[in-house]
Parts: sequence; C-alpha cells; structure tokens
Amino acid sequence: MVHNLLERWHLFLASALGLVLASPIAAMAQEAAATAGPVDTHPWWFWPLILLVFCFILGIVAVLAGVGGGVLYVPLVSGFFPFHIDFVRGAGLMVALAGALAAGPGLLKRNMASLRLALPMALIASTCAIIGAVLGLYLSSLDPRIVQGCLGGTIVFIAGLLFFSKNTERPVVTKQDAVGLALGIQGMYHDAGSGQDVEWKTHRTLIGMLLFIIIGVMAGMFGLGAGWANVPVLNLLMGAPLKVSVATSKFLLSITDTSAAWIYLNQGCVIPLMAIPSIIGLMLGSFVGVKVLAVVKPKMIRYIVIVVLLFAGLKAVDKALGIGLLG
Amino acid sequence: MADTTKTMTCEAPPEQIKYANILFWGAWLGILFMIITYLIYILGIFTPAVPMKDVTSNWTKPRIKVEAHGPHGEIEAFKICGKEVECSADDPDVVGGVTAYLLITGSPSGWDWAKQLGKGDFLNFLPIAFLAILTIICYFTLIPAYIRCGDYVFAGIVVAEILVLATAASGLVGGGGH
Repeated sequence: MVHNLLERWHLFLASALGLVLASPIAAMAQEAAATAGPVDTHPWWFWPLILLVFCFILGIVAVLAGVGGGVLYVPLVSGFFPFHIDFVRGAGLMVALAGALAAGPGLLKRNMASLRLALPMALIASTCAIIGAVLGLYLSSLDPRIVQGCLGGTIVFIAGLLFFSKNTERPVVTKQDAVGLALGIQGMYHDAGSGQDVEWKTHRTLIGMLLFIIIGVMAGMFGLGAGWANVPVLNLLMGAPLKVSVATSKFLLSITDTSAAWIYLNQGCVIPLMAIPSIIGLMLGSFVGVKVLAVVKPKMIRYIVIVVLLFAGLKAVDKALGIGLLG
Repeated sequence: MADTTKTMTCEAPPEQIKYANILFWGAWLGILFMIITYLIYILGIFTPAVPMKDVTSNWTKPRIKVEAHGPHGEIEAFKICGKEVECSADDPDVVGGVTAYLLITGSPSGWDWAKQLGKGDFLNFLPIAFLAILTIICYFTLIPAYIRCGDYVFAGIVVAEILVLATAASGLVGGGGH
C-alpha cells in the first residue's frame, strides 16, 4: 500500500518535472517568434496562467530539491519564457522575498533562525545587494546579453556547488573567533530529531562577513535569492549547525532581497501581471512540496534539479553568446 | 559589546519572538491583500492604466529609437521600434529593456505609482510595497529591545540596516526615474 503510494508520488513528480520542462519547450517556440518580430497572439491571461502552473510545480520541486524558489525561477523563466530579463529578475526577487517572509516567523520562533547571526550578515549583504541591483540594471541597459551570460555562468557554478558541496550537520567549533565573540554570535536550539539541545557558536566570522559582500552583489544583480551561497558560508565556513544555517539563510533572504527588490521596484521592473501569479504559484507549490517531502525520497529530485539548472545555465550562456546550440 | 555571560536556553529571545509575530501577520496579510488586488485587476473591476494587451506585447523585447533628449539627458521624444520605425540592433539611439517599456506604456517609475492607486494595475503595487516595507517595520521593534539590554552594537546594526533599506526604498539609488 505504502509502496504503491510512493510509486504514485514518484510518477506524479516525474510528470510534474516533465511539465516543467515541456512548458519551456513550448515557450521556446514563442520566444523564437518574439525575436523574429511578430506580436504575441495569445490572450493576455495565457502567460500569467502558464506562470501560475509552472511556478506551482517549481515550488514543489524547489522544496524537494532543498533550494530556494528564486534560484530556479530566474534561470528557467529567463531562459524559456518570453519575458525580458529585467522583468524576470524583478519578479524573481519578489518570489524569493515573499517565500522568505512567509517562512521567517516559524524559523525565528523555533530559534532555528538566529537574529544574532543574521543581523550583521544581513547589513553587509543588503547594502551590497543594492550595489548589485544597480550594477545589474546598468549592465542590462548596455546589453542584456552581458547579464544573461553572467547569470548563466553563475547558474552553472550553483549547479556544481549543489552537486559537490557536502554540508556538515554539526561542525566542530573549538574556539570562537574574536569577532563572533564580540558580537555574541552563538545560540542554542532543540533538535527534535535527536532530542538534544544543541549549543553552537561561530568561527572565521570576519571571512564569512567578507563573503557576504559577494553574495549580496550577486543576489541583487541576478535577482536570485542567495540561499545557495548563504548556507555553505554559514555552515562550512563559519561552523553554524546545518539546521541553523538553512533557517538563518532563509530569514536572511527576507532582508537582503528587500533592499534589492526596492531598486527593481523603483526602476519599474516589477510587472504585477507576471510577478503575482509567480509568487502565488510558488507559495502554493511550496506548501504542497512540504507535504510531499514527508513521503518521497528527494535525492533523485535534487539530481534532476541540478541537471535542469545546468541546462538552464548553459542555455543562458548560449543565448548571451548567440551560439544557438541549445535552441 | 554583547553580554555573553547570559545563560543560554533553547527559547528564542523575546525581541526575536516579537519580530516573528509581526512578520507572520504582516506577510500573510500582504499575500492575502496581493491576491485580492490581483483579482480586482484581472477581473477589470478597476480599469488598468496600461491595457493588458500593451503589457503583454511589450514585456518581451521593448525597444525604442530615441529622437530627442531633454536638458538633463532624459528621453524627450522617441519612436517605437517595429511599430513606428525600423531599428537596427547596432544603432546607439536604440534603447531597450525596462526604460523602453516604461516609455512605451507610459508607466511610472519610483513612487509615482502611488498617484495612480485608482487604476487596477497600479493598485497591485500597494501589497508589493507593503511586503517590501515589512522588514523595516520589524527592525524598528528591535531598537528599544537592544538599547534596554545595553547591546549598543546591535542597536547600531539595526539602525544602519533601517537606513540602508530606507535608502533603497526612497528611489534615490539607481535613478528612480526614466
């Protein structure tokens, strides 16, 4: 019975992924048509509806793969949908922001996300996200292919990072560094899995802070959200436990993405007709994803997502260089 | 300097709980409000400032050919590529992306959307802006908590963050206009 149910879930997820990949293929034809010049003949509700369904599936897949919605949304939608990259990045930031705002309260209340760890990092990342957003919009105004190419390279890098990085559940921090000590970056949480109270503190805090400069710039420049970078820095470099790193990273996005989102919003890059179905679709998908997570083995999904990201990244590079190898 | 002599517990500090509560109600209220304003928009209850057709026909590759600049370098006159004039990709007077989109559709940038809240499309910016302002509201609640504990470093970090986010929201960074 249970086995049957699991098989059905796997079948559903395989179909869902198929749809995720199939709808972009349909969109590629549209994109090609758009490049050639003819006006979009679809009714106005066509793309918002496709986006709602696409983002719903993306929301499920993102939860199962353990990645943020923004990191899947921007490369896939910019690569396979007919929207200009400025609008995709604007919507991508709103998607990441809404997801982080909704997830933040639960994580903070359970003391998994730590304000003491998040606030100093957030100040650096959000300041740099503004610089990244301005830089990204400037480069896009020069030639959108520059941003597209850089985004593609970053996505390929992220796919590699997801494949190779091995996070540590509870890194050993023998001695807290001076910066971490001065800022009191430490805490304790109850691990329901092991039933233990876990104390934690950080080391290499200053290097971590410096890395948040780069993370902030990239988050703002590409509208990606930056959980893929936050977690390795907090966990592998600074020595925060994995659960604290994941939770604090999610909460951090609500601050980093706020600053970048304002730049995109003020520049007119957020089109409600496409941004809102994306946000709603992804959030609904995330809720379903959390339920599905309890019954499926997400490892295979994670590998499929890595392959999809790799493909989307290479397509963005291909598009930027005008090679036309990937359609 | 933070007080590190306190006994650690698994309980979240009170300022963190307060922050979480405001974030919880604010985020869900904003998302609910967003669904309502979107329905108002797509059901045509309030007429949009930019017709849907103009949005969808310009969100792919908006491009204009600049005809004249104003005294401050702003674009004063332009023609729409593919509609009013044929444009070459190499033409330095051809502008694309969001700048072209705003000019073609007559959409506002910066906070000018707030003047058009009676229009179905710009009404949607209200919940979007609310979500984007929520973190600033939450940060304000942290200041008295940190000052009360004598944690001036964190109080300073909070004030600095509010300034950063307020600067981003002000529209002063990155132009804000077209």
